[in-house]
Amino acid sequence: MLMTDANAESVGLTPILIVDDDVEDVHFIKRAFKKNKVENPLFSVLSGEEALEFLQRSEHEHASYPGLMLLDLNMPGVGGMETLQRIKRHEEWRKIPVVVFTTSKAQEDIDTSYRLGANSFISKPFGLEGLVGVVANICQYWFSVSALPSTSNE
Amino acid sequence: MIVTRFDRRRSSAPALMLLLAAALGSVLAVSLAVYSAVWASAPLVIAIIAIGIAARLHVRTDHKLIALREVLDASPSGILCVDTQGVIQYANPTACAIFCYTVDSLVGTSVEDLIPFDIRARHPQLRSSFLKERRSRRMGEGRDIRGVTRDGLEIPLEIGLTFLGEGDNALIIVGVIDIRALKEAQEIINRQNTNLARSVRELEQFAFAASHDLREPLRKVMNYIEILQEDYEAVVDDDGKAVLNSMGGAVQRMEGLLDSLLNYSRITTKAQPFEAVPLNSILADVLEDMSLAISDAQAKIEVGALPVVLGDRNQLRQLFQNLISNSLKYHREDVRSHVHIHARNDSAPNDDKSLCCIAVSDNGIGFDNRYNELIFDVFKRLHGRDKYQGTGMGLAICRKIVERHEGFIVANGQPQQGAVFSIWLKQLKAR
Repeated sequence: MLMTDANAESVGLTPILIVDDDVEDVHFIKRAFKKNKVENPLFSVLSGEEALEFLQRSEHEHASYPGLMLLDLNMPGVGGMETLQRIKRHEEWRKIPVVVFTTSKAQEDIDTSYRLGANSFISKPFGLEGLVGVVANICQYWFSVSALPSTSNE
Repeated sequence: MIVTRFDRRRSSAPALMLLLAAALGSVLAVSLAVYSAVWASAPLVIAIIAIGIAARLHVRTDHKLIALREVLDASPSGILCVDTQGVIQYANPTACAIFCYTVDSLVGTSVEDLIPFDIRARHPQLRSSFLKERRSRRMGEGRDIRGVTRDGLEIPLEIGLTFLGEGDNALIIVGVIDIRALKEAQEIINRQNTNLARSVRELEQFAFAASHDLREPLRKVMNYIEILQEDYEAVVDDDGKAVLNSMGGAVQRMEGLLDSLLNYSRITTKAQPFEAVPLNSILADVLEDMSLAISDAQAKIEVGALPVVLGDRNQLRQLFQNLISNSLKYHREDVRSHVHIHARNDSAPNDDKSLCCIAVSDNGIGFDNRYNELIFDVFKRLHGRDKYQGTGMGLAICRKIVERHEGFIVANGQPQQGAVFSIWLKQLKAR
C-alpha cells in the first residue's frame, strides 16, 4: 500500500519516503513534516518489501528517487535492517540518505544501523512537540546543510 | 593370629581401647572438619571430647571401659574396625544402621561386603596399600564414595580412615557418615537455585519488555493529547483544556517511570563485562557531563584520589552521576551545595579486604536515618512530588549497580546536616 500526500505544489520537489508499519506513527510523522512547512511529496509504505518495490518502480519509471528516507527498524517480514542493507548495497540506491527512525534506543541497534550504512539514527521522541523538533532538524540537515546527492534517475 | 575382639562380653583390652579412642578421635575430627558447617556437629564434638577425656584418664577399670564403649556406641558417626584380613571386628550401631544390618551382625563379616561391586575386587589391594602407607586421611579425596547396604542399595558416604597397631594385629578404623540426606538437600538447593535464577531472569526480561512495549501506546496517547490541544483548541473549553493538561502531565510521569524501569532492568540485561576502571577518570567524565547542572546549582564538588576498581565503566559512571545528582537535588536552601567524593579506609560490611570504600558526602537536607534502607527501594520517595521531581529510581539503580559488582552501598543521613553514601567496590591495585 502506497500512500502519498503529493499535490500540485510539490511537483518537482524530491519526494520523502517514510517506511513504518505503524499507520499512526506515519500519521504523526507526516503531521510533523507539515508543521515544518515541508512541501516535498511525502510517500509512505508499511513494510520493507514495499520500500524496495517503491525504489524499483522509481527505477523503472525513471522517476526521482526519494531525497530522504525515514526507516523504522521493527517491522514484520523484511525488517528495517535488511531493507537498509539492501538499499546500501545497491549501486544507485545507496546514495539515498536513510535516517533510521525507531523507538529503539539499544546500542546494538545503533551500531548495526551505522555499520550497514545508515546516514543517521534517531530515536522517536516522546510527544508530538519533540517529533516536530526532530523532523525540523532532519530537514534542516538534509535539505540545507548537506549537499543533496544527485538522486534523479537519468 | 590374635585378634582382640571388642565387644560387650569381653571388654578387657585397656591399651587397645586407649589407642582406639585416640584413633577414633582423629577420624571424627576429619569428619567434623568436612561437615562442621552442614552436619549436626554438636554430638560429634561431645563424642570427641568424651573420647579425649577417657583417653587421658588412663583407663584402668572395666567401669571406664564400659563408659568408653558407650561413647563409641552412641556416636552419631558410623565407626568400623577392620583387621588386616578385611574382617570387621567392631561396628557401632550407627554403622550397622547405615548399612542396614542389625546391631552386632556386621562383626565377623568381610568389609568387602560393604563395597560397591565395581570396585569390590580391587578393594583388598587398596586396603593393604593403605596399611603400608599408614596415613590418616579422608577416603576418595574429592571423589564421591559409595557403599552398599545389606539390600544391595548403593549409598553416598563420607569416609575417614586411620589405623592402629602393627603387623598382623593392625586395625583400620573407619569413620562413616551417611550423606544421603545431605546429597538430597544439595540437590534440592541446586534445583531451587536453578529455578530462582530462571525466575530472576524472566522477571528481568519481563521488566525490560514491559517497560519497552508499554512506552509505545503511551507515546501515542501523548501525541493524541497534543493533537487535541492544537487542532481542537477552539472547541475545547477551559475546563477541558485543564483536563488535557493534567492528562499530559500524568502520561509524561508514566513515561518517566517506564524509562527508569527500563534503565533499571538494563543493569542486568544489557550488562558489559568487567574491566579495570580508574574511578578518577570516571568522575572526570561525570563532572564534565554534569557541568551545566553543577554551575547552575553553584555547587562545589571535591574529588580526592580514588582507587582503580573492577567494574562496568558505564554503570559506574551512572552510579556516581546518580549520587551527585541526588546531592545537588536535595541541597539545603540558602546553603551552597558541597559534595565530597573521596576514598576511605572503612572496612566492608562483610569484612572483605579486597573491597575498597568510596564515600560521597554532602551538606544537603539529609534524611532521617530510619529510612537509610528504604531509600534504595524501587520507586520509593521520601518527599512529595511537588517538592522534588523524579521517579524514585535513582538510588534503586545505584544499589542494583553496586550489587551487580558484588559490592555494597550504605546510606547515612542526618536531617538538615547532610548525607553520606559509602560504596564498596572490588579494588584492582593499590592507589
